[in-house]
Amino acid sequence: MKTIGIAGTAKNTGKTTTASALLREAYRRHRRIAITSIGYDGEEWDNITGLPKPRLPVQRGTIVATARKCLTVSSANIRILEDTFIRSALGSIVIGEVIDPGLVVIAGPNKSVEVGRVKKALTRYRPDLLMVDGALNRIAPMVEVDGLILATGAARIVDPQRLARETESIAHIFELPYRSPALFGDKGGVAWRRGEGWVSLPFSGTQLLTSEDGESLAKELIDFLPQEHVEGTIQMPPLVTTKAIRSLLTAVGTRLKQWPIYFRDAISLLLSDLPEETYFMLEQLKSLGLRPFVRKNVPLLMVTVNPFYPEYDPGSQTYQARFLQAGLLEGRIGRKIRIPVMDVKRKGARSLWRKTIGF
Amino acid sequence: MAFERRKILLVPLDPVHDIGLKMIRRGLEQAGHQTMLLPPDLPPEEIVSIMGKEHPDHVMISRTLGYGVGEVLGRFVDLADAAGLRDKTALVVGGMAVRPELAAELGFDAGFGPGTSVEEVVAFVEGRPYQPDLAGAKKQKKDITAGYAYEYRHAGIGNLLEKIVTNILTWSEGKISPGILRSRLRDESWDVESFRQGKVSREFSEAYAQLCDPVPQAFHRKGEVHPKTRRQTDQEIARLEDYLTKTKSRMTVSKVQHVEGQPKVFIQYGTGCPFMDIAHIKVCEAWGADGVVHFDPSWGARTEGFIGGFLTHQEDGSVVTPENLSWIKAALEASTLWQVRAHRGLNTAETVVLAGKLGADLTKINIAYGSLAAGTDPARLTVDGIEAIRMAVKYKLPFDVVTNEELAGVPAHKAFAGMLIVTALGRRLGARPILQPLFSYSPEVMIGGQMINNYIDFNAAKIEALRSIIDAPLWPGAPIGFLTQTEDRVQSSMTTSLHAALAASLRVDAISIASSDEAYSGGPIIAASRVDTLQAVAEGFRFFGEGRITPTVHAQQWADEMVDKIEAVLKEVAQSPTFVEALYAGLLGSKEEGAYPGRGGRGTVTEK
Repeated sequence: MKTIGIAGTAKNTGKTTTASALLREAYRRHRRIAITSIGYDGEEWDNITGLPKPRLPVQRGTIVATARKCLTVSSANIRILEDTFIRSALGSIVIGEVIDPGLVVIAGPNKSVEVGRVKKALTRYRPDLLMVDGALNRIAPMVEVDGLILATGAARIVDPQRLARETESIAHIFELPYRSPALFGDKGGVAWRRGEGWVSLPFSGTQLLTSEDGESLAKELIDFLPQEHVEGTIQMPPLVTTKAIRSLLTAVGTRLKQWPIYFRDAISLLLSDLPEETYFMLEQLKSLGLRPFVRKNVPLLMVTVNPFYPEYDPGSQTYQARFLQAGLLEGRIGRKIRIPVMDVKRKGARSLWRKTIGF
Repeated sequence: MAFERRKILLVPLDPVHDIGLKMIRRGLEQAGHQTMLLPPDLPPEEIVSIMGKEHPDHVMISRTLGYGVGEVLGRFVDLADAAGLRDKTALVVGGMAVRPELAAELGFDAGFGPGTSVEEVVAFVEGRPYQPDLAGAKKQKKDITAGYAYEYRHAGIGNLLEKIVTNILTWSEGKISPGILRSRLRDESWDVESFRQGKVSREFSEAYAQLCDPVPQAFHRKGEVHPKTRRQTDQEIARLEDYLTKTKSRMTVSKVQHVEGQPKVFIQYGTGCPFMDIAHIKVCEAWGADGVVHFDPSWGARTEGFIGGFLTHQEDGSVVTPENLSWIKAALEASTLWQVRAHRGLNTAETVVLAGKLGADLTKINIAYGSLAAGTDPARLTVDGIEAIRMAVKYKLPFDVVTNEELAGVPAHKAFAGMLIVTALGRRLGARPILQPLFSYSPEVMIGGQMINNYIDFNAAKIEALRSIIDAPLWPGAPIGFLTQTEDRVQSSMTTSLHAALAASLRVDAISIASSDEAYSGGPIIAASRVDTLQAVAEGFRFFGEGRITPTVHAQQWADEMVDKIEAVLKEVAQSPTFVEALYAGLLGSKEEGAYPGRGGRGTVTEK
């Protein structure tokens, strides 16, 4: 079973459109599909803007993992196969099989560990493909997928140039090389060579978030590190911010030259700041002679772009639907990154499938 | 179970919306929990950093929502997840636009929207099911006639009414009509239990058919339904059952009243389709309606006899059939009062029997209105009305005596005289009548100018006048604010709300309200517009509480005038050879005033 995640950079960037297109193509190719989501999505009306949103059309045989309350509001007839007993704001997450086709509302687990549990449970039903639909800009639980499709568009940033810059930064973050440090557990730590052996200083927390966090780690390192330059390695805790890394680098950056620096994965890096800031921080690391790696590889398979954006009309106090010129975003972003960029509504489901799933 | 002290981080994400959090903090601390209120407007990273250091059991964020705020909240949840804190800490979001679906979308474990009580949040923190204040939320049916002695407070008017009632009863002795015969047949030979089991008595059907017009005859003899109607299909019935099962399983009723003694609120349904009626009723019950009134089509009132079947049609009013009424009854919450109107047509008496057998709580009878403004022959409706009142006594159905002839142009004092005669008739026969004056911008005041300055005085005068005559329950209708509503839903809701507040201030027992689109819908009204007025009335009740609206001096002056005029009308009626002749003579509303004695059923009253 291959697991594909569809994450969005913001609301209305086309996650559900992308998911629906993949579904259509999967049915055309007679693939057995399982679907879940990070939390709740696919509702008829956007909860915040009040604009309509598509819901997912599913055919017989599709396996879904969704909150129990969503079964009653879905028009598809779904037979419950098992209850995962994972709690959500809309009831426990159940696994079901579509008996009669229709529209489905998917509200899956919203924590990384729960996505992992649901994924494991779904494996038993032997789908060819599991799609994990994102909700809003939720991305953290996407660490559980084998490949990611990123939906972005004018709803994230209306200015195509700025959006292209941001997407380029995201793509670069996903291009960080993968390597396993094999020295520390998930919380990370610092190790340097002393003679034939290594001195290691494991971290106690799971995060490095504020400038103060960065400064206090730097102080610890200054106290422990030998004065002369030594070979070493640093594995960051699961969650870091650019702020914390910068204050760390300011204090001890020059002493970490040539050290590999491990981040958990590209997804946690995306959470560290705005993508351009994060990318800039990674470039700074490189310029200081550090070598950034990720400990877990989540490939970015495709960027889908949506020219739609909601514009607030103060007169009527409502959001109005607006669109950028067709093809504009594909061109601007496509020129900057190596991975495929596509407006699903223009290029269609077949092309999307070929370039992302392939089988 | 031992008390488990929890640690809760309270996070206002913007400076002006932390009042709710402060209330929650007080509740949590009173319950013995440890709280920590963060300063407003911290970035998500800092909140997660504090979570990493403080290890709270719950983080409660309050934030108003706008475009972009969802992303901030989603990022916060992601940071907590990536930091490995998500499993150990329950994340909760609260705010004005928050609903459980939104909380789920943003990745929170729970979402608390407007109306959330502190107790509910404390229950969530303690991991126990929330038990709303059952005493407060529980609704019970109220007999709105309870506590009234029906004593005359105006001796002169009381004497006149008693004289008129005696005359009416004397005149009606030995008179019979097809309507009376059907009502007695329905009363004696139609077994509701057999009907519920789907057993059709051929004997009853044939005997009944003989008392009917051709259309009901065709139904009872050949099973043909009225050409304007069609039966609900099996698929529709299955869907209705499904809808009702699902809706009832999650149904809770609310209250619109803010303080004890504020009037019970009735809505009127009659879309033509019982399925749609039921959906509207469920919406209204959920938003606080205390009672519902069944509106039947006008052609039903002009036809001798009822048809049967679970029927729908595309006209105003839902057809009265045993099946339609049974489905409506099955849909009602136990606390909802149900009125089936019987007031105006050729089936008045039988409607009362049917309503009584099928479990209605109230009915509606008015001989004067039905014969002057609803098309039924005065003699026929007088004998049928008396029978209807007797049946209402038998089936213990209080009834309101509506004065809709005011809308035709009959002045209030004449309409009230007619209403008081029927009320006195009910009183004599042992019934529990309810006075139903209109709160409306009627033709009388449009011409007379009594509402040029305000809508308060003349309506208050009506209540004052009636109260000075008899100790009886009052239920202004129908709906309140009639002819003050426009197509603007805000205006329409507002005027309904203010008339409701006036009714509450005048301490009446019940009111009927319109939906905000009722006057101008041009077709079936929409459920959302029902919520408009129910909410508006709730706000009106909330605003005034036990406070009072003070009318100007005109109110008392007009009330006194009204009483004098009522007495004068009743004197004339008492002097008339018969009540029926008084109706024909225009004493209770003349042709010039828009009242026309009806022709429906003329010549059908016979001597036994």
